Amino acid sequence: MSRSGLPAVVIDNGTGYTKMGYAGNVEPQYITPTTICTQEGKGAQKAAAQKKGAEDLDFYIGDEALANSKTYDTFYPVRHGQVENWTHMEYFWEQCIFKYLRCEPEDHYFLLTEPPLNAPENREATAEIMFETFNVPGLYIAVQAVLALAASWTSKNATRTLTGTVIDSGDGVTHVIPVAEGYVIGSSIKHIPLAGRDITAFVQQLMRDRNEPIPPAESLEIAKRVKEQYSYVCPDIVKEFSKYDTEPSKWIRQHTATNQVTKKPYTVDVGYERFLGPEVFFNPEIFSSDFLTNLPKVVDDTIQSCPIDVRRPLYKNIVLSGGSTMFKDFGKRLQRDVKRFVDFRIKRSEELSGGKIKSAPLEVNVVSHHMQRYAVWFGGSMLASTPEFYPVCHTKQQYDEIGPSICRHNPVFGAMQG
Amino acid sequence: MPVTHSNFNGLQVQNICNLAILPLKTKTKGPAPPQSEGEDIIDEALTAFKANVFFKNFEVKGNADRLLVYVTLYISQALLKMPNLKKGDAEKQLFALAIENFALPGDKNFALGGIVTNPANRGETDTIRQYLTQIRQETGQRLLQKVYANGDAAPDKWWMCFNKRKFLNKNL
Amino acid sequence: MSTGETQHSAAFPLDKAFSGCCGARCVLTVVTLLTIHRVEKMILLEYHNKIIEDLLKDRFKEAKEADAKFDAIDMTIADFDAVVFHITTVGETRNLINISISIKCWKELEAQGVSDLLKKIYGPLKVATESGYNATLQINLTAPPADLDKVIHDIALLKRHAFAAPFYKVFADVEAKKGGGPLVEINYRDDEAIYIKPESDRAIVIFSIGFKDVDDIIFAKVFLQEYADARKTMSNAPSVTYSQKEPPLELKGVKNLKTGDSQGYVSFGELERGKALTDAVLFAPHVSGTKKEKTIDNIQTFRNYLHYHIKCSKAFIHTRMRNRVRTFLQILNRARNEVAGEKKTITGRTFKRADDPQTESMDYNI
Repeated sequence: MSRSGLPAVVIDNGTGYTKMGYAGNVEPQYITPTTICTQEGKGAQKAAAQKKGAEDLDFYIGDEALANSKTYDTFYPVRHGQVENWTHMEYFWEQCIFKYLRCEPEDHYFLLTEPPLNAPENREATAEIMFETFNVPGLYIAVQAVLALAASWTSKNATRTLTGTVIDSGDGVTHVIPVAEGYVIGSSIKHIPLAGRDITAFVQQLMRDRNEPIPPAESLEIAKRVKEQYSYVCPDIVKEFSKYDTEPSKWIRQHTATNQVTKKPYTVDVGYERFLGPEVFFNPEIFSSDFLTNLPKVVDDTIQSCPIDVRRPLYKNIVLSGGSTMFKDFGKRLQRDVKRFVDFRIKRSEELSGGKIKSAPLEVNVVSHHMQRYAVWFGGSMLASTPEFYPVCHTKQQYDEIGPSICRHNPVFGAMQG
Repeated sequence: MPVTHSNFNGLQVQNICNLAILPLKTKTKGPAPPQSEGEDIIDEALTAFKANVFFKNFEVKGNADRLLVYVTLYISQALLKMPNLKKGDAEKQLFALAIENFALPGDKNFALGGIVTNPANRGETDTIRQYLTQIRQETGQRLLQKVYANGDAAPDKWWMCFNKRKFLNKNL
Repeated sequence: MSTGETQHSAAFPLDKAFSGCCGARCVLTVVTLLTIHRVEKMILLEYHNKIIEDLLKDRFKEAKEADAKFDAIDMTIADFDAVVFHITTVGETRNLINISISIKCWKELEAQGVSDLLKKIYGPLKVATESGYNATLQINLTAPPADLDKVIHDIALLKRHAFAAPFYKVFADVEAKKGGGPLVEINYRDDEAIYIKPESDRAIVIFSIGFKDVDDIIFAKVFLQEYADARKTMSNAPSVTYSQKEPPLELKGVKNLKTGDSQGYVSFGELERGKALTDAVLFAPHVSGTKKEKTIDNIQTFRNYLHYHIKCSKAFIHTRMRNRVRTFLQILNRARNEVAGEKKTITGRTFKRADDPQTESMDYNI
């Protein structure tokens, strides 16, 4: 804990959702859309005399912003993980701190997150706002993938290392990010344009094809529900289909919901979409016509493009993060499929060498853990509650002395020394 | 584990137009060699159908695979005939479909145009027509058993939901 | 950046907040009630802890579902003024939720009868205090009270109620015309305190405020001057004075008083007895009650409110700075090199420049 004895504040501003809360907790206190709605456009038309001088306070953030989107203009200050509009971001933080978390920023250290490959200028801009507007006593800007690695330390079979491959799959996009000793190997990052949103769309499509009695207006919501509640990853889709067809009562589930208009309950069957939804990661072809490389292959390619001396540890520690990696047995299947690529390559090279070379077996290990959904925030919460956190923070004093450039670099910490 | 391929690819059988003339478990008359037990190509296609129908690409690994593609596409076509029909009516529809004047290898509108060769002579054309007719009839019958497994009144929605999908983006 | 700009942002919140401060009698008659509510919400901070309220609401909603399982909670969160809450589930069944609060100045509040007050407000909800904390409330998920939303809101107001104790006491003294009582000192933060002084006809509340940033002092000054000016337009506003470095006279004799550049003092001449009583006569007795509550609500959050608006003003100025930079950049982007050629003097004669105008001169086509 800091000098004031109060927990640090951890805010993870994602493209879709902002996760915020106090360090030391296992879950963020608020998960709210990274949205802000203001009167900007409308206010401009007002006559100067009508202005009351408080227009700059007339805005909402998060869920409240969406609720007020009819009378206000809605903006998304974060695009592709990076802050695009600093004014909106500053206002957004203002309410995060004072209205939601309710704390005096002077009393708490802050841990914020950034996407991989974020420009150092963005870190400076963040520092300017945090130190000058909010007078925070200390600030640390952490890379999301590194926090996701730290979050995996809670798993039984994980080591306290900051080297590993992070699979981060949220709503919009899936990233595969190799990290070596706390630093992202930027040139090797790969992404797949398939994530939660696409799985939902696929589930929705499958249920529509079957003419399930869902009101069209609720179809997306039901698809989301079905995806979250019933989906899992199967080892083999052909066998899975046979299982469903021989024993439908065991596998096909019923989902009951209430029609929002008539308030009458209705029941829909939930069948093949249970395993076909997440299958999109492993066979993108079944859903997408333009992206065909499956996730295990992308993971393998990513690691192969990294420097040769980190490949083994990268295979050994593949860490999952984000809501779309939560499907049951996701890790198992990924591990099996990546292992197949690796084994095939080793076998081939042994064959080509004419049996002269024997490789040491290569360990492929996918780490699943309980904190996967908000792994980035949790990693931040965990690190910010350790005593090592405070010395690595940039302080207000240093900022006043040197300037925002101090925040360009944020030292790695927390991993086991060795 | 992408598309399922046929297990019969390596089998030594007669080939016409690059299609394997595989044995069938059937009572319908035709040129197919008889098979008494185990899975035949139609079973294989029916089992893999629900999974394979999602795919847009298929690497042909042998002549049995070509036949698998043909049977899969035929199942799709058959499913399109069935919505809202009772079993008896569906049976008639499928029988008509099986023996209608369908396209053969060498015809311009044959769906597998790119992957089969033209028949070498009149005799081959006749054999392939008879063989495909036989396979269409048998497939139809077995499909009916599956689609009406839960009663004769209406087709099973767990089959009908696939009738809009196009395997390899093709229609027979 | 001119002071005008700062005031622009600061002026409105002040007088509006005032209307809240002195009993919600809004002078701006043009504004409809609805907008008053919105504007108030926009300008004032809430008094309850939103995290606790939302968490409890969620849990009770989940508990209503048929086969509800109760997840364990172990949450430590902070609130304004160095308050820490600890929310935990109790026992195997996890249907009981404990909400504990830790307050720095508990001892001083204790002297003002906070324990009795909380007992009076929460009744059976108040249970044995968790070790390391100052007060603990407990609520049962399987037995929701009839007025659930109100109870939850009350629990979320725990901090407010705890801090209300000294105010209740002093205000009661004033209403009973008991003046001249001792000065109540609440050291609620490391280097800041609230002083409440009962007089025979009013109570004076003094905040000592320490600033961490030099700019903040200027903002606060501009902001609080507006406060004092608001009295000119609102007759029933309490009088406010702001002094820097020098503590006000009322604080004579207080030990360990912090002075210096970064220390400011705000005093509210609050709750003149005559007014409070007239209102009590005019309306039903509970109205005077609500008015008192409202006063406590607002005076408590004063420091947070002040700092919130300092930050908002800064953010507002930053916005203007960014916009200005953007227009400058636009101007720079429009700049083009002048095409070489004949030039004209003002009388219409043409001439050619000797040096190369292509690299020297820029034509700002603004």
